[in-house]
Amino acid sequence: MGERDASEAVARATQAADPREGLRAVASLRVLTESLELRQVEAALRAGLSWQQVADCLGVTRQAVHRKYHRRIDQSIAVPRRERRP
Amino acid sequence: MSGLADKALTSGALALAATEECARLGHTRAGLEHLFLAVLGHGGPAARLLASHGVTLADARDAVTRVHAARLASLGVTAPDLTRELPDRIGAEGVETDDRVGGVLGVALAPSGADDRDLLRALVDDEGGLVRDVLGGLGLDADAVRAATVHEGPEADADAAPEDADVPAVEAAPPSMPGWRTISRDGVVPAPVGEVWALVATPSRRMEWDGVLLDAVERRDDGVQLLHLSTTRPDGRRIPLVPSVTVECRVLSLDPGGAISWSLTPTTRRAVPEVLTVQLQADGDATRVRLSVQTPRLRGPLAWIGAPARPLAAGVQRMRLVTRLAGISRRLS
Repeated sequence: MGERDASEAVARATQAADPREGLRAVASLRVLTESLELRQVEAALRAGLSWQQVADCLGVTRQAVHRKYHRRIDQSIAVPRRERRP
Repeated sequence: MSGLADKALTSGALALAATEECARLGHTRAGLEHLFLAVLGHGGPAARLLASHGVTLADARDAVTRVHAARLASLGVTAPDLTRELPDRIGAEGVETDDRVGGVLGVALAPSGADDRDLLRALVDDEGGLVRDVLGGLGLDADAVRAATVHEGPEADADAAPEDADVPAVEAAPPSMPGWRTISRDGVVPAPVGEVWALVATPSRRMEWDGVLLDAVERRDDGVQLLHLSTTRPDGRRIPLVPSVTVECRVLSLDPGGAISWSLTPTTRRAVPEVLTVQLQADGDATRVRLSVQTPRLRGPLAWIGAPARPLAAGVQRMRLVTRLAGISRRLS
């Protein structure tokens, strides 16, 4: 979603006639965002990225992304074990 | 089994099914809409109520997706298809459950005489309105559905509800062998009885529904099936401290299309043998399934020593039956 689309989405949510509808729409947007993030994390791990590299792209710590996703991802993905820094 | 224990197991089974539905739709947190799908798949009074209005599990899943899509559309967002194939093993581990799910389960099923119709009513009443919107998406009047969930408890149901009386009951659990204990679990699988029978009675398909408990299945030269109990994670890494156990699986009795029993005898000395029975009964386009496991009662001093662990062992057996039932449902739904 581009910057203009995001602005329009915010505008629609805040201008909804019933604020409940706006909140419910945002809740569905959160479901979508979480689902997309999970799929992108899985794709990154399948491509061989490490947890640290995934965390770097998401702008969070390795511990945070590992804690959130290590049990959620497709368990058949062979995640590389942590590499020691040289 | 006590009413309290049965409710706890039902809550656990519904919560597990909700996480399965969540994973199937590609979502990451099981919410009330997934609990609604779990209730529908559970096959209880609430599911029969909804089925009487022509609601199927497939239709309900589509309706959940459409409701989310409509809400996103109000923001100008087009939702992609997030549905995904579930892995061979029940892979809903790690799917978080929204706090509201536990709250609704705990409150709705707590009163004496409550059943999943009370849970459905609680879902309709939820202020978030998601289940109401799903019912609307299925062409139903949420208020009418809510009104139909009101009941007077199991005693009144036993006297009334001709539609309940028409529902065929699974035959009684297999006759209990002297000195053996029987634990059973009932469920409804949204598939015709022929499909369910083909799944459970075909040896080569064992892993499709029992795979969460097994690493592999092989056939010995003498025709006996060997079940290797799970000692590895889905990614192939070994689970620490779990011993390797192999079970000889022999068919004890067979009533084609109706029931099948296996003896499960561990090859390890001192391990407890079991008899696992699957009984099927057609219920329209669905199948009522009863899973039963029979284990020998301990005797002599072992009975006294093992007494404190008996409730825990029984609970483990029940959860394994719930897991097998879930495995059958997920493969055919």
